[in-house]
Amino acid sequence: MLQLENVAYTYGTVAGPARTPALHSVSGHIPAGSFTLLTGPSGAGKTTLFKLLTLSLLPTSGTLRINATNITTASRSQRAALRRSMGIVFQDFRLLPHLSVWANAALPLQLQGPLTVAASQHVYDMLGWVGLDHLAEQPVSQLSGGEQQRVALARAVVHQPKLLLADEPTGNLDAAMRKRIWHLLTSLHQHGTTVVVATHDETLLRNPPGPVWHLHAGTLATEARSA
Amino acid sequence: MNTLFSMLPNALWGHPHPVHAALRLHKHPALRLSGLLVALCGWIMATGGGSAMLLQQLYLRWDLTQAQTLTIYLPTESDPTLAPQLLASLPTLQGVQSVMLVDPAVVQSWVQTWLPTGGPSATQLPLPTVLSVQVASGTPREGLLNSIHTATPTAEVADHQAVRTEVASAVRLLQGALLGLVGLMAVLLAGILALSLRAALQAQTSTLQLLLLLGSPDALLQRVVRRVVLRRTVAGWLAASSLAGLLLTAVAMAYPPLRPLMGWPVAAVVALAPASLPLLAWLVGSLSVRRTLHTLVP
Repeated sequence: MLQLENVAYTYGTVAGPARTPALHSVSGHIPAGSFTLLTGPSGAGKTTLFKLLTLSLLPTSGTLRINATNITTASRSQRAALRRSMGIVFQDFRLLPHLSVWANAALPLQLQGPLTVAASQHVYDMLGWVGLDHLAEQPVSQLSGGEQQRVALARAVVHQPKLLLADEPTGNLDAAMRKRIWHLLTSLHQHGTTVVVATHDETLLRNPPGPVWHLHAGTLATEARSA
Repeated sequence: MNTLFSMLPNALWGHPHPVHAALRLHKHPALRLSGLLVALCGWIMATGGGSAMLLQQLYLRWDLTQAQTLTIYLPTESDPTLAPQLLASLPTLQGVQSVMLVDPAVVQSWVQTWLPTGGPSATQLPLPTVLSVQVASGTPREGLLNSIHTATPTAEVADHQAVRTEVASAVRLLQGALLGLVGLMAVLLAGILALSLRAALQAQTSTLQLLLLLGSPDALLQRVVRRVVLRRTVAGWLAASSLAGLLLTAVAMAYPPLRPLMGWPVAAVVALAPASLPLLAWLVGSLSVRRTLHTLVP
């Protein structure tokens, strides 16, 4: 599903004064249906790798393929289509505070075309899956951090993506909420979704459900055991 | 252009895409202000264009009158019977429709306007006898002027050609200035739209980036942004043309000679002079949003 060959990324422009290498020659393969954890200390390049996987950035060198499509040579519209086929949970949620919970969760479906009645109901079902259907009409600005995290998760999976990318989905949450989010991610994986999670969470790392990619100083230190 | 005209109705009146509510560009103060500025610039364009057309109508009417009139000045030392003779003989010439003796009081009033205040009165000066000759349009001037010169060798005949040329160039200059003003307003408006749109898009950078990362095609976001700008532009166009039409009508009501000139050509120019606004909005909207999207996500 995801294939990286000597992927490198350097911040700053060629003509600019400060060029900061963030990722050096990372190679690896994330197979379809796997549950992969990305981890490493701050500044290891985790966020940069996550941005490359979500197509927020393009590699400075090397090749990144998603579903056999080379993202560097793909057109803008091809990259947009790839993004529509994946779900993303951002570390800072990136919800739109002026919209309701339902409207936030429905956005990926609305980008694909007008909503049918069934699709509209499916959004409520997804909110029910994360336990927020009773707050569907509330503005997200009135929700707690844990609730907002669950709205972000509902938005990431509402269009049933084959690939889910989550950046610190359990960060800043209490233990009960971490457990709940983790349970949701695991159930998605069990239904065939390829899941990639960038995390510092020691609880998750102690008992990983699949490969763990350890990043250190911009390089892939180890590609560890599978569950 | 096909794309513009086929998509324009839907872009203006179609049901807004949910992304419209997500972006909230229509609530940005810069775009709200741009609506007023569009109306103001559009009003100047409509009034300028309408005035240029009104001037053209006025000029054409005046020029036609001048082209059909010859003025004969008989010197004071001329034979007193010459004027009655000409009044009788000139109408027989080909192309002459009528000959009229200009009232000496009118001639005195013409001359008086050229005399300094406190100077001699026109009544104290020897004034020529003036005949006004109405000529059918299309009459060859050369032959007619030769015939009049043969009949009255001492008379001076004015065919107003010099003044017509002078007025024509002055009218062209004024019309050029008015049309230049219309063009200047269009350029100014393009700048205003580009700046206000850039400000509004900058304020929504994080939302735009999110939508792109969720897989929104560029074309969808361009369509949503163009809709916001187009609606303001069309509203500004309608307001501008209505106000300009009211103003020119009020001017025509206050100045009766202009009333017959306020026909459909003036109305059409007033209505259509700001018609470039939606096209400008379409282009500026497309280019601005395209540039912004390309900087946000590769």
